[in-house]
Amino acid sequence: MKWIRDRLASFAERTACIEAGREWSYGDFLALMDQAATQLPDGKGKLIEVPCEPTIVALATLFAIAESSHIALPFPVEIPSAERERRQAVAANSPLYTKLKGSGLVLFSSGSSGQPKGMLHDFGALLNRYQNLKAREDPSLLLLLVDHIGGLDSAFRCLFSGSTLIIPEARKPDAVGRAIEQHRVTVLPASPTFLNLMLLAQLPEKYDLSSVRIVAYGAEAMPEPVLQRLGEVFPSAQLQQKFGTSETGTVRIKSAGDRSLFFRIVDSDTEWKVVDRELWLKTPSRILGYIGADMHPLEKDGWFRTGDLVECGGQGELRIIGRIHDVINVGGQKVHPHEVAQILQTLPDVDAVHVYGQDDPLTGSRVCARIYTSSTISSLAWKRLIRGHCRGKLAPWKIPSRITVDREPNVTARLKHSVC
Amino acid sequence: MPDRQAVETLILDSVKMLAEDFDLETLKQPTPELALYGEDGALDSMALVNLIADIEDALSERYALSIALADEKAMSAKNSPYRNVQSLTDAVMERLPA
Repeated sequence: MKWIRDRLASFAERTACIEAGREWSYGDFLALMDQAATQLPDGKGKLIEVPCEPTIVALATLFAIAESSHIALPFPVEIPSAERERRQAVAANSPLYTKLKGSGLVLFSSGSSGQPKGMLHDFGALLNRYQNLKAREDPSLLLLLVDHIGGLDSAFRCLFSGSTLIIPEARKPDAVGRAIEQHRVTVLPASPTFLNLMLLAQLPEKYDLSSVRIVAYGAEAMPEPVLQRLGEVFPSAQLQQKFGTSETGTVRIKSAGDRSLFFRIVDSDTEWKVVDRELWLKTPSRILGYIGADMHPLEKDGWFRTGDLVECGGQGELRIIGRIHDVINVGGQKVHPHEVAQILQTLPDVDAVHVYGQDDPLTGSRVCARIYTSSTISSLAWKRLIRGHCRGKLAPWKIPSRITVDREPNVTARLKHSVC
Repeated sequence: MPDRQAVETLILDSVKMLAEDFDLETLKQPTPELALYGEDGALDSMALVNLIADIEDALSERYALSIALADEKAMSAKNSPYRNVQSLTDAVMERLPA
C-alpha cells in the first residue's frame, strides 16, 4: 500500500480539503495520517471505529488503517446509540476476519429485515482501483459521509487525483449552494433525490452555480424529468451517471449520451451479465462476505447479484429501472414502481413522487404513491386527478390506490427517498 | 361520531366517486342493496381495494376516524362485509370506537 503515501505526497502543496473554514494541504493530510498511525494498536486484525466527522480526520485515519493490518469501521457521529451498539455487536466478531491478508473495511447497510448488515472489504483491493487516476485540480463537493461507498468513492477519486474536497457546513440544499458559490466547485456528486431537492429549493436563483462542470449522480434511479430540469439549470455541465454497489465498489461506466439514462460498463476490471433482468457483476474488489446476513447474493464463483433491475438497450447499453425487491406484486401482477412514478411525474405541479408497495389483505400488496407538491389542492382532489391521469396509461392494478400528499420531501440520511 | 345514516351516505358517495373515476356504469347510481363484490357484484378485487381505500380516506377526512376495513376480521367473516353498501355500513359501525 506504499503507493497511497507516494501519490498523496506528490500533491504536497495543493489543497486536499476545505472543511469548517480551514484549508488542509496534502502535506497537512499526510501529517494527520502519521498522527493517526501512532494511535493504532499493536498487532493485527483489531476492529477500529472511525467517527465520520471531521471528514478530513476520518479519511486520514482510514488511510492509516489501510496501511496497517487492522479493520476500519466508519460510523456517522449522529447515529443513535442503540443503532451504534447493534452495529458494534454485529461487527465485533466474524469468522470472515481470518480471510483478510492485510487491512479490512466494514461498511453497514440496513438489511431487508431491518437488521444491520455488515460488509467486509479487503481494504487494499478496494483502494487499488484508484491507483491510476489522472491528476486534476477540481474542487469537488462531498455530500455523503465516508461510511458509505458513494461518499468513499467521491473522496478517494478526489484525493488520489490531487483535487480539493469541499465539505459543506451541512448536508442541506442551501449549505450546498453556498459552498458551490464560495469555493467555485466544479464537481457535484449527488443522489437524484438531493439534486431534486436543490431544484425545489430554487438554488440556481439564489446562488452562482456556474462553476459546476460535472454533475455526477447515482445511488438510485434518476427520474427523467429531473434529468431534463438539471440539463436546463446546468446547461454547460456534463451530467454523468455513476454506478456502484457497496459490495463491489464503483464500476466505471459511460453514459450513452449527456441526457440519456442508458450507460455502458467500460471497466476493464469488471465483468457483467444480466440474469432474469437482474444485473450481475464480477470485480476484484468484491466484498469478502456479509457479517450478520446471509451470503446468497454472493455467488461462489465471484459473481455478485446486485438486485438492480435493468433494461437492456441495443448494443450492450443498460439502464437501471429499480430494485428487484421493490417490485410490487398486486394479486400476482408485477408492478415496477419506476414505471408508475414516470407517469405521475408528468402531472403538472408534481415536484417529486415516490411509489412503493404496502401489504394488502385482499391483493397481497397494493400500489401507494407519495406526492410532493407545493399545490394546495386537497388529497381527495389529487387522488381523482391521478386516477384520471393514469387511466388508459397504466393497467388498473398499477394505478395507486393510496395517495399521500406532502409539502416537503422526506429524505434519508443517505439522501435517497424515504418511504414514510 | 357519525350515525348509521351518515356512514351509509358516505359509502354511497364513495361508490359514486369510484364509478365516475373508473367509468363503472352499473355503480353510477348505487343503492344500499346493490351487489358490490362477490356473487353478481360489479367490482373486481382491484376496484374493491380502491373502494376500501376511498371509504377509509373519507372517514378520516370527514370524521378524523382511523378505521381499517380490510383486516383479518373482514377476511375471515362468514358473511363478507363487501357484499353491498349495507354490509359495508355494518362493518364500519362495528369498527367505530366505543
